[in-house]
Amino acid sequence: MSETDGKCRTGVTEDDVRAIAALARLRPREAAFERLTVELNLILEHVRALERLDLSGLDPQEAALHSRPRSRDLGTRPDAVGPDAVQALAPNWRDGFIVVPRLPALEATRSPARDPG
Amino acid sequence: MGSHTAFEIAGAVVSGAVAPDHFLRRALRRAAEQADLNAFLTLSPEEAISSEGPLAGVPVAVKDNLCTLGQTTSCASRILEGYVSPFEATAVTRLRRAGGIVLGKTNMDEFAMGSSTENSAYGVTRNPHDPSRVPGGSSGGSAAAVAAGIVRCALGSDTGGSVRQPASFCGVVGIKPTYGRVSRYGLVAFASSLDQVGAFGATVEEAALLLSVIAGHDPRDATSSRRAVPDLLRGIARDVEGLRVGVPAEYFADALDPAVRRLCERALSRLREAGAVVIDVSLPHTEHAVPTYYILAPAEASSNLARYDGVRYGLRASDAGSANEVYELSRTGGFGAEVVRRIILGTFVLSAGYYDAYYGRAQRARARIASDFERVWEEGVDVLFTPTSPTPAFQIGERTVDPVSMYLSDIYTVTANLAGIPGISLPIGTVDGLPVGGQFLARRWDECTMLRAARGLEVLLGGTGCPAGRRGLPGGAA
Repeated sequence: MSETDGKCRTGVTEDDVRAIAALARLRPREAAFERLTVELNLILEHVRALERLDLSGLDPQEAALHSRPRSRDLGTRPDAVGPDAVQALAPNWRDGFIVVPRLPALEATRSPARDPG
Repeated sequence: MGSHTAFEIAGAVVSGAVAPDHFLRRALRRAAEQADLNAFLTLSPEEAISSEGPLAGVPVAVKDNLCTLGQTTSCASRILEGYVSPFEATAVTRLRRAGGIVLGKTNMDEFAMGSSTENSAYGVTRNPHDPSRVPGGSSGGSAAAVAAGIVRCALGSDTGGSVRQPASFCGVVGIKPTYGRVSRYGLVAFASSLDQVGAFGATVEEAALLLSVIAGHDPRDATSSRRAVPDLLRGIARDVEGLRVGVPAEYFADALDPAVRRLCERALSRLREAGAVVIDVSLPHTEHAVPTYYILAPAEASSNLARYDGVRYGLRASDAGSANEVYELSRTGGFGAEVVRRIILGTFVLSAGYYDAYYGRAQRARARIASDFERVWEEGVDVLFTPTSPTPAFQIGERTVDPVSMYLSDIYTVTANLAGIPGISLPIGTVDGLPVGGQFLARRWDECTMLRAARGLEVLLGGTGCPAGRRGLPGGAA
């Protein structure tokens, strides 16, 4: 995707959508890209209406309220989730750890002596 | 529930006139009779029922994106199928402490992304007034459960109108509180700067009762306000004489169905006759609200939904050969089409090179939209009155092929989320048997005036607040 000079994009291609999907860790079926590209362009065309708006002198509003975000009181914590609860939720679990396949990039560093899995 | 209000149910249970589970059993029977609506994803009545509190013995439906202990919380998504949260949403905990019973978890658009409940992985919910039509969304199951007479009150969430629009389509009352009024702890995040837990009721007073129970500061949610919550039911019955009601011209533009317009004008006439001062006002940036919302909400969603990667909980693809494939195949297999569309849109508007053109611009537009409201309040307007949605409930399947036409269902509701102000939808009449909702908006933290206006109009229009539906409603066929 090429960069813009702060203007909205006029047309997104299927290759753009493939690149975005990869960034979002999604792998839609090949046939879905054409539909996604059409839909994304429809939506982006609709939101181009914002280009007509004079926004000079305005700061971005990042929250519903203008008040400064507060830090959480250190004495208050979310409910603790213990190992049993984590194990109950985990798709795969072994010896106190959630099991996932290795990253391909780490395969080269795999050491049979150190890695029993 | 028949004609018993939540107040009457709690009164009967607290006084011992009926067994604490009396109305729960009745609600379960009604839910079973109306299973074809597909309003509930799970029904799971509690074993211990309190006979104390303002909601003692009152069955309440809870949207499936609010975490509940002991019950699944799926957000109507395959990626969270069978997920049982190890913690509970504060709103649900407060509901239980007030004596309320969680009757079950209601259907919704997947991760609250939608305006029709058609995006549920578990099938569409049908509108009790006409089963060929949608109940609205994303809290369509909660709205339908109230409209069908299964419960008098329900919890939902409102990110861009997801309580008010289904309330309008189903002929019930729906409140989106001021951002920060209700804790979001345990509400599965969609767009964190816009999400707010909301309350449905068969009448304005019942919705206000539920809101009064769940409102208030929660140290577990840094965005929940430390402001004291006023007594939301005190003063609700005051009449509307002297109330200054603003009518924004932009909400009565060409997109509005003429029949909906006529009902709004009738409502305004009633308010005028009762002594309210009706004032024409302008919110000139309204037309930019939907584009702004559909940049900000997907951007926040693409970040919030990054946690669903098949590693720690939820669906994991069984055929993944590497960690990267676990992420990609689990997410692709678990998310539905609308969620994928919004994640891709959100990822695009946050990507390098486009951030300023889309996300930064939308954040500044949000400031402009919020300032429209500030100016109107400074002019002395107490509340604004608008239609809730441009049309009554549409046919199932009518808008699924065109995402923009679906997004425009939210044109009158997203502004409140962008500005952080409270809003309420209440029934104002019917068009060809389909309910139509009117919306009041108010200053931040001024739910009291908003509720007074809504209760006043409800009385002026006939009182019950809930037009008779296909079945199960007061005065309805069942």
